[in-house]
Amino acid sequence: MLKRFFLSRKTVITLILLMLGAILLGYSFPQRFLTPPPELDTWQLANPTLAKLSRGLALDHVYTSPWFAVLLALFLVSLCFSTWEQFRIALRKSREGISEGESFETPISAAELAAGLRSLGYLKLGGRDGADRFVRHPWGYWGNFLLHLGIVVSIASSLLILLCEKRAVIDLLEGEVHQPGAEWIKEERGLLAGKLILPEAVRLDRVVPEYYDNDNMRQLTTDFSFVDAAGRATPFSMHINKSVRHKGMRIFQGKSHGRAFFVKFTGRDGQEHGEVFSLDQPVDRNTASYKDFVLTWLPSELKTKYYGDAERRSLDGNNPLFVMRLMEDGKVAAELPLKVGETGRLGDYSAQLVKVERWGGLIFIDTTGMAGIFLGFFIVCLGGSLSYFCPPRECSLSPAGSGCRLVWRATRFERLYRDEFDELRSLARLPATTDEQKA
Amino acid sequence: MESSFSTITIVHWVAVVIYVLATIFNVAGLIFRKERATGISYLLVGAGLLVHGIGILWWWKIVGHGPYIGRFEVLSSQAWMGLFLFMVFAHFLPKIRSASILVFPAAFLMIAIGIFFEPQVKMLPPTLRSVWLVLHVTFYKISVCTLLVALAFSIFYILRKRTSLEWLARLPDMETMDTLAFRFAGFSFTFWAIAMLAGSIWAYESWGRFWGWDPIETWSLITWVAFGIYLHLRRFFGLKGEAAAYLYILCFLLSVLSLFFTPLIGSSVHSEYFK
Repeated sequence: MLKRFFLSRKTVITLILLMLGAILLGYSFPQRFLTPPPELDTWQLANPTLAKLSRGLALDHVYTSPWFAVLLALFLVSLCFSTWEQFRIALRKSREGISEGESFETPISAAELAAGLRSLGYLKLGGRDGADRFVRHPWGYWGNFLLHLGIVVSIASSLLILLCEKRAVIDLLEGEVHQPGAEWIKEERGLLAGKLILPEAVRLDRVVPEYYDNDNMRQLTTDFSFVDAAGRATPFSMHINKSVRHKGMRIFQGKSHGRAFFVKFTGRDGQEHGEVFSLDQPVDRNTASYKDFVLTWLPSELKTKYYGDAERRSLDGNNPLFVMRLMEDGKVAAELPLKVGETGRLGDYSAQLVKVERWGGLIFIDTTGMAGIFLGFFIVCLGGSLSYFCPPRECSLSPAGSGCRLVWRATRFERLYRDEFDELRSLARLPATTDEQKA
Repeated sequence: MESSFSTITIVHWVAVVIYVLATIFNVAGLIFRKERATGISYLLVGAGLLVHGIGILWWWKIVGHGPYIGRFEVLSSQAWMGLFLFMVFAHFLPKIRSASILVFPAAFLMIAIGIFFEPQVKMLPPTLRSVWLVLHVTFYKISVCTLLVALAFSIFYILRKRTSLEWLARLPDMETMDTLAFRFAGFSFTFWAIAMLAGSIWAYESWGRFWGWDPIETWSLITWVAFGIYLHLRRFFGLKGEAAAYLYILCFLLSVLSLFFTPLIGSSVHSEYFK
């Protein structure tokens, strides 16, 4: 009953359409893991009803929502039944003899015709009731099964990842240490996964960006170390497309990096405030990178920007220009451009750019099932190739009078393989069917 | 550099002219049943592929990377690959030769559109420096070629059913056209899957995420699922003929949207190309 339900065409098509609908929902609603928080807030403020719906139905994280996991699981069950069915069909087709198809009789002996069949790529696969069975591309029987199996493996693996994956991102300054259990700037967890806790502390040693002359990025390299409880450091180096493995965890180069500006503010009352402003790397030497900050001790909003090089000679110079703007009622109340070591006045404060350091992002992933995804995909590709490139062509040879009788059929796309039947006829020294029709 | 740009543009225009001539001979050959004209059209395409191929290789040498990023290079290489593969397929499967009526013009249109976007040098970002990217892009290009062949036979099927144009009678019979559309859609489905597999491995190597649900990935998956539904309906639900042809055209439009338009409307890791 259950099997019949999951194998029914209506169920299969409904599940495929529901999956398609879920993907479209994920595309239409801003997803938390894809959208920056301020952008998400803006969207929620602009669309209060949709935002309510989104929160209520977890449409802001479709792919990690429980209902999507249930849908995926149902889809998987249906596919498992289909795969089993396809396995049985493939096995039956591989074993059973050919009962119908086009045929001809020829005075040529079965042995001679069999040799001709072998020369055309037909393999002898047993026989029944005195007839020998030949098949060209017998592995093609398994195409559909493999296609289904591959999807099962992929979905099962992605379900495993969905449930168990731990993924976290940190941005660190050069020399800064992230202790095990400390907060991440961004974390994604599978439905059954706990918090990602590093086995050891991690320290960012160096960030090395390289650029082409036109300011496009050439490479981004990060040197970092895992530091154990005794203070022993194990150094690693990674760059984009070269990750690192350590104690069951994979570490990837983060996408973001930039400069951190250490500024010392001194008020008229002599009170000092030290602040670090981390900004993303600008996209080119003539474009600034911007970021706004709210400081608890500063009544005004602070807007900042920086250029990679004060003289705009490169994107990543030794002399970056950092600019701060105090905003009051949407207007610029004060502005201060600073280079390293310079001091100036910003409103009621004296500000000094003490030093500039680099910061970089690291991505930590603890996951199982990734190999299953790729294996599944590979099986899908293999199944698709066998299904559409190698449809089996079956032939049976049985003695008839002093010669033999040949029955032939293509299991799929028969219309496209008519020529092969004619080829067999010519092997038996008979005219092609088309010639026969003409005659 | 500027002079190289203009020379490459001229080389591409020469290729366009050759392909246009090839199309004229091809259409005339098919409609007026002139074998010689059809033969000339294939020779012209061969010459066009040579000129066009030189243009692409030259461009490759200037920018220092394969045709993966800029609109011009993506479209131009797509056209070359499509035509080259079509000629190979047509050599081994003579039944599909009539699809040239659609494949030849599609190729020169792609080059012309590429030229209008103006060749621009874009350096290869580190994330795009991977053998998986080469496979990813190559298999999408192969897929487009098979998509075009299936589209041609779906359109031919509808035309033959709905009109009484005399030249359509020279195409393969209805059942064969229907089967060809089905089979080439199956090829596309397979090549598309391989392209997605290569892409997911590449993404994992670059960002530690095999699937990022960015707009292009999402639409690529939607397109693949749509083709899956088409093939499923044909295989297990007995869908065929005109209804199948219309459904295929819908899937084809979806694939065009996925490949050529989504990179323009959304920001994603794929935005490195086509913008």
